[in-house]
Amino acid sequence: MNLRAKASWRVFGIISVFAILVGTSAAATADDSDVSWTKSGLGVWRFDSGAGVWVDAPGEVPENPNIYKFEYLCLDDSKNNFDIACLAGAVRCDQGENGRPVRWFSSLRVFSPPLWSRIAPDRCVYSEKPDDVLGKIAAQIQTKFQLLPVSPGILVMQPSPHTLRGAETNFYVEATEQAFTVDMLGQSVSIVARPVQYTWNYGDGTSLGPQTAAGAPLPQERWGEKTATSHVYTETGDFSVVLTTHFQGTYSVNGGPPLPIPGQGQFSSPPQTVSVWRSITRNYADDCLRNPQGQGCPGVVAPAP
Amino acid sequence: MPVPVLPEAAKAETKEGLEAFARYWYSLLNYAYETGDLSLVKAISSQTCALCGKVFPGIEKWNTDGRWIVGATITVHAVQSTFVRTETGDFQVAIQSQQAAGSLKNPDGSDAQTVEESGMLGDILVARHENGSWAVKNVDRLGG
Repeated sequence: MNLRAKASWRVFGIISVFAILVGTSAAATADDSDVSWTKSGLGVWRFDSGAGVWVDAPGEVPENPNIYKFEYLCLDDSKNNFDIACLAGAVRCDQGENGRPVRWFSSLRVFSPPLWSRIAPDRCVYSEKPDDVLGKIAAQIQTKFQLLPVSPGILVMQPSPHTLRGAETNFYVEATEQAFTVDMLGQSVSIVARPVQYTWNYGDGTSLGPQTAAGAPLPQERWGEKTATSHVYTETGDFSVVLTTHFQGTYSVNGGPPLPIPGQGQFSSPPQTVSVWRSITRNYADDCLRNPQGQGCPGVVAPAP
Repeated sequence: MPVPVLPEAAKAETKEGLEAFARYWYSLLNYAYETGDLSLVKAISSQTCALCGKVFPGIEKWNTDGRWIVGATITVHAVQSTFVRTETGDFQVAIQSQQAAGSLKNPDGSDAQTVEESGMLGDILVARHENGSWAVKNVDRLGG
């Protein structure tokens, strides 16, 4: 008969899952009626301009398919000189000083030449010099985005806060789309941050990502299985795990269309300590009745490892 | 609402033919939104069409047992195909679409759900010309 004796500090009994929540998140509204055409598709389509075809690239980050342009309505040839009679028939821009109407257009990026469609309704900017306010916002938006209090999401490890050397530790993140409204140059700018990629720094000199898989929880009976985001620590000790979530952003000026923010915003969680322990399994020929002094039996001191 | 008729121009295996066919497919989709009759659009669409799987069940549900859909139809703003044959023998066309505002009505006329006017959307339609006519292999979303 085999009796498996286990060191008293084995950690399999610890079942708690801990989590880090940083900052606040405000879920952006999503239109999710049963018949909404806005639903996400299944593929990640990327245009291969060399071949002239779209290619489904699973695991890639989706690209914003739209390009945008705008024009000021009622602006005559000499800049900043608006036609008063024309303004009377345009959208009312009376939410502030120096309101000027703006008309937005979009095309699919892939259209060559672009096919511009008007975006209704017209919007406004409020500036004495409207001709450069949108350009200045565009120039500043990437910096502004990175300074927002975007939450990288909730980082979860299974098991935690202790795990075992040599075992698969499952990591996953629950990150959400977040919306912010800020003032830039006197305009109301709505920013939406959408998580698209994740990087785990495991604290042992290795990292995973950036990659699109957020991972997923494992039921407790499957802890230790290898997953797309699991990690094996090869040494014991305490390690600081840092999650970095990469966000794509869009910004909308005074209710205008969601313009893409160049690049990605990166937001990291504070370091979270994981303690990596060892487990030792010893096999014995006798049970504790036959050999009460055997290792692992009640009252017997465990040998030094 | 009259049943959309396949235009002669939408039969040819050409760039213009495919672009006209894409517009015809959306007219059948809108016919389904308005009448609940999905048979026409299903007849020329593969079962693996991604966005079909997302909206067809809702269209069906909200056109049965006294329920109905107001608005929520899809406007096609622009259509363009590079008309390059893919490795699988298909052709692709990109569509700029937008959903109109609408509502899903309970049998008593009350609103069960509302549909907001969407922003500008990018769609891809993959089609193959078989036996003298176009058939839809997939309709999916550009940009995730």
